Amino acid sequence: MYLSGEVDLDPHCERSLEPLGGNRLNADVVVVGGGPAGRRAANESATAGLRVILISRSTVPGSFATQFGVPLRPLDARVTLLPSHAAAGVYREGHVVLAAPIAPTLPATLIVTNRLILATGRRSCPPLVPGHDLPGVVDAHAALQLAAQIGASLGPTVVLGTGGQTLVAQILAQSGATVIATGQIASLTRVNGRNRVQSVEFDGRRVDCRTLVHVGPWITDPSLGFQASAAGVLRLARAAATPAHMDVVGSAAEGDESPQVGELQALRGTAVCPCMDVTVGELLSHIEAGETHIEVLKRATSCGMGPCQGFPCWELMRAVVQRASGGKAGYDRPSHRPPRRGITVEQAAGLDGFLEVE
Amino acid sequence: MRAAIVVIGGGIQGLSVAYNLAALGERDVIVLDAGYFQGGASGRNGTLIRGGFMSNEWTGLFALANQRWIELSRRLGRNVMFSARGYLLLAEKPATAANFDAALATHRAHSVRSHRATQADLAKLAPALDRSRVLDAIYFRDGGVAPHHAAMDAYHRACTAAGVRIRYGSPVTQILTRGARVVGVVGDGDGDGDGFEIEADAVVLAAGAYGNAVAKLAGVELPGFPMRIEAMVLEPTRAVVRPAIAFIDSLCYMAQTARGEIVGGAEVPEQPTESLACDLPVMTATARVYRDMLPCLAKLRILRHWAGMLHATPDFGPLIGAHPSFANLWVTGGWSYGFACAPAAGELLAKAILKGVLDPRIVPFALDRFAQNRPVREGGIVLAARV
Repeated sequence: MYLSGEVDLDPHCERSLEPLGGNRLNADVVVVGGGPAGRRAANESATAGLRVILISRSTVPGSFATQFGVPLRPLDARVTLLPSHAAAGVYREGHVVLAAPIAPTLPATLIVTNRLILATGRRSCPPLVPGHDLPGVVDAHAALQLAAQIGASLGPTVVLGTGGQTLVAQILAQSGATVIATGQIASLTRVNGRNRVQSVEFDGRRVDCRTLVHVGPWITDPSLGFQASAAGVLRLARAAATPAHMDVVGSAAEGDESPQVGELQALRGTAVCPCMDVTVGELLSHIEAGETHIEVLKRATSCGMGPCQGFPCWELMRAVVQRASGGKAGYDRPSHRPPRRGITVEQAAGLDGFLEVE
Repeated sequence: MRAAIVVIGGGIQGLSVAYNLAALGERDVIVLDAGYFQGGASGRNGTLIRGGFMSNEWTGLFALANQRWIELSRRLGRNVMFSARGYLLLAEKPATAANFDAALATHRAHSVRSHRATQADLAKLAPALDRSRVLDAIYFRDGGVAPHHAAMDAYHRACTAAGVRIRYGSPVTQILTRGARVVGVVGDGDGDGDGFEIEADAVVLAAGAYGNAVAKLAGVELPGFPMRIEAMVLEPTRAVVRPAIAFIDSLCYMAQTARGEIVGGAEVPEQPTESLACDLPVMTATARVYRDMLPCLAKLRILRHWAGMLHATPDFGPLIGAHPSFANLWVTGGWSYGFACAPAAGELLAKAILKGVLDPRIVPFALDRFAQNRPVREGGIVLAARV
């Protein structure tokens, strides 16, 4: 069970005399994501004379693409860039975007926009095999960042993926990492270790290592799209429909690869949701008792209700439920709720009164 | 198919009525719900429980409810996780504080254990509170919280054990009537082809926000309209706020859960909507109240924010009793504090249905009170609408 970074709050602390405040911006187009697709979309809109705001989590937008060796075109000077911000939530069918700075000491920004373009890319989904949540199991993005930007030593490293593993291994090696093996993530059966990764089993062999990098299966975070669409509006009555003023571009639009899930019965003790300590066995006990509705399972187990906001653990939960129930589960995924990334009470309070009540 | 009683709505109200019907000996009960278990307001509310309000009518009903919560785990045979951590009702404005003496007297009349909390009491009860903003406070020592997953699970299991049949994903599409009586329901089994028709001696309408939509199936209406309410939760931290708190003048409530999350919400008067999408002004308003009233929460991160639907009546009070047009169409609806009151409402309504005895505590909440110009005025609730 996780606790917040502020476990030991002093109840006697006083209110800061300087309210943090907030920002409100208006735009014709908001683009979320500063990779190749986000830049292209932002530049095209700027060329067309529209007011464009691009939100990027990185200090330098497109860091993942850069690490992957993908050339980035420069951003049009007319595009307003909000770097080091997470798109924490979208409201009113995508017409209101909440941008939260990564730094909790800075004010948040709300943007009222006509169009919303999601260029959020895809993330590598951790494989659901025993030991997958051990420290030392990292996705490609984190590994590249650790090795290339911080120069962290990953130790002997195994890189497994759905096709991109050779490229990632090459880049990691150029940054000084010791890659001792690569292979298909589908062949991974187990990660061993007590307090961190000590070995991995794949391709029928066992390799001692300190780090396992997974390069796929690639999956899009569905949260912002869900929040903006009808799926999030009248969930009890209506099915999903993407509003016409919202676009998904780049790899985020390419669809999801299937999560890597091992044999379910062998996974009973394996965590699906590390934040809330939910194991495959806990899900299976409900499913075996006849409950396959994913919203009910969420409420019964709290799976995905930690700060990761259900991504990627709802993807794994969904794969478990679909397989165990023979595809008879209720909704595809539990409803994704904002904010999907941290915004403090102080930051949110700073925006009060900035948006007219409907 | 036939059943003595069909309950439409498998939230905590419907399950409490069904459980109490079975406890009084009527086990031939079917509960039908269009959605999924805990999908409506019963799985989306703040879970705060208290016995006292400002009015005699609300206090009478909720005094019983609070008492029942204390006994509920034993009754249902399963832990509902009711935590009597206390409940603070705070006034920030003189006009609100001016009503507190009368409220305390009303509580005494109904044997609700409440007392005025002085500034010194507040320093002990809730050190995180900015007391300079609090004009007056009432403390309920028996108030508290109960997580919905535990309470709903306990009701569901107790109903099933008593022989009550409960079906989710089973929307009712027709209520069959003959003269001044309802005689059964028809439903479509959520599109999977499993249609059903059930004859019944009585029908209980416990459909929460969808109460009016369901009442129309019998050709009648309920006073009021569906309304969206929103709440949010902060990331868990160690215990910083023990009692549940209602800020009457800030229109906000909050409590810390057993696992350390702070759950609560501020009411922002908005146009009634049937959308379950939450909106930014509620989150920012809630955050502002927290920052101002509980400054230590300012640096915590907001984990999630969500919406639920309820049925708001013209006086925000519940609708309990038979429908004026059909003597055997019973209603428990119009709830805004329905989770807290479910143990009492279900018990008294079940008695009314089976024994024909209307308890004086539910009489003021009769469905025809607006037509009779007898609304129940209650100033101690956190609720607002713009109509």
